[in-house]
Amino acid sequence: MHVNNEALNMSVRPRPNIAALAITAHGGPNHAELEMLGLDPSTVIDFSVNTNPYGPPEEVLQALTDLASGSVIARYPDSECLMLRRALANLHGLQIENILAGNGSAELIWCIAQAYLDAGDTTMIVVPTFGEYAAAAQVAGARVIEFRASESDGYRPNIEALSAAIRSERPRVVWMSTPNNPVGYYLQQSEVKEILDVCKEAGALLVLDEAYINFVGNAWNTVALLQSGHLILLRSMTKDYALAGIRLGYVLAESEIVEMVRRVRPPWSVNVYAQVAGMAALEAGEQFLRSSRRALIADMAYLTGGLRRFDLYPLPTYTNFYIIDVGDAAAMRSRLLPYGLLVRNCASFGLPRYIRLAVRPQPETRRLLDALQPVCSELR
Amino acid sequence: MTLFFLVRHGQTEWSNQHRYTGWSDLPVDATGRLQEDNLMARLASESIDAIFSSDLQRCSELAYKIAYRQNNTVSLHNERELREANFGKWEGRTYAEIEAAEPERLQCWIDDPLMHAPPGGETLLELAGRVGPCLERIEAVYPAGCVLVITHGGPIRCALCRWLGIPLKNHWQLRIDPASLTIVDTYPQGAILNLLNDTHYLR
Repeated sequence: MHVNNEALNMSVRPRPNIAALAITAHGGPNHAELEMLGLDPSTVIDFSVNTNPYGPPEEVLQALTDLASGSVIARYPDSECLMLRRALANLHGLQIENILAGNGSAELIWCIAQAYLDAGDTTMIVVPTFGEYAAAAQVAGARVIEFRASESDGYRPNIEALSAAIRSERPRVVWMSTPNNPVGYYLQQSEVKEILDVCKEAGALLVLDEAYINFVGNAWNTVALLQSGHLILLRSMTKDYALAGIRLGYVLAESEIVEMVRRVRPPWSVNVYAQVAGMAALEAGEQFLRSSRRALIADMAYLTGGLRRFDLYPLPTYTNFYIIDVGDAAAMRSRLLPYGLLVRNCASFGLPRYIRLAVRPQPETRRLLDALQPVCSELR
Repeated sequence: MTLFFLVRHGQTEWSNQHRYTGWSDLPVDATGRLQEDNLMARLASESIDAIFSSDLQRCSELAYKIAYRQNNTVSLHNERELREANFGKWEGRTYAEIEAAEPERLQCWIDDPLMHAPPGGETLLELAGRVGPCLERIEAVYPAGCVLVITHGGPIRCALCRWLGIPLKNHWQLRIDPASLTIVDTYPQGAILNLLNDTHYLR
């Protein structure tokens, strides 16, 4: 049979919203860029990612060492992460059905979007915030509305205005991070309750990304609000427990919501190393987190004091990083890079004047402060 | 030398009714919010490095409001150790109500609050025992800084007793009003009380 090849020669076509998707920027080193500057990535002091600079707990390192065997690696991990979820359920005072683990909270953001946003649905993102919610929502085909906190409010959202916006736009899903990345504000209980009430009225699902909650210390308990049935709490173990390379996060929600998100999560997405590391981290627990916080408070005071000498004043923060108006963030970032110092240009957050600095140990901060001497004079 | 600005939170419904409010998590009432505004105006010109606040909302909400008004206050911390004493089963009750129900227990507590606690509550020693180390930590982190501490009457009195060498049993002789400001300058050799229970900006 003769086939008309030309007629059948159609190009492979992706979904239109994928073709139109912009690249989401994140912190961390750009290896190609460092190569051009002749910098070895391992020598660069990275202030652009907000992970615990003191590294993971000893318990995690021990547990991972014990795990290095061919037989362990050869077997499939438990796709349901039963042991890890039991430990998390115990920690949070919930049932195992209220918990779903994922390959970092990044994977779970995508799963939430897949489960709850249909093409054409409206979703609202309270910005400035982490860029991944928008990417996931766009891929799902949703219409993304940004609620932008104003500069005069220090980029902290006005809760009344946000409530009014939710009422009028009636989004399916509302995304917020608290503590907020990059700004560092932390929503109070009364504020979250107000937003949650409005979401209930509007039939919306509120996603609170609490990746940095363990840096807050004495955070108020959001878990108690899960009963509303309109809330998902997103947690990460990559920042506080310094497991960024392992990839581990989880969601907390009413069981019906967890089940929906579970359905779109690929199987075996949490590998055996992540599950073991997670359990070991939970064993280290609050004691580890408390001593990390104590060290970081002192380190932050040192950094803040140093920045002050250059007339640099960060915005108030509850967590382990803050943003600073430096005029031209791109210029500051590129002037610091040759010194082996990486800071986050907040242009991708819609804040091109701001850099974001994570708190790091004082000797590393010393190097940043030393470099700021010439860099600030050049940029003035 | 840490310069401490010690602030007691604004009025709540219970504080106005003279009900014991310890760990109960009440918001400030309408009067309290006005007090907060006046307090914020008073503090606006101060250069505050960090705010340590009791994690109860009547303090923590004031903390972030102040931070966002100040130009250069940067780090905010909620501290459970800065909570008021836990009044246990007596939370929310007035002196008269407790006296009617448990006169002997109440008298024990009045006579020796260091060693006695409300049922299920904390003794004064326990309160001082958690406030002291918290302040020490703050002093260690900000040895030359200015720190705003937003807390409750009990912790402020404990702090003053500790810094000024006043016996804890005499704590009741220091009056700390709602939304008041007390300023203490701490040095290695000791602390200097600069201002006690200032409320002039509330009028």
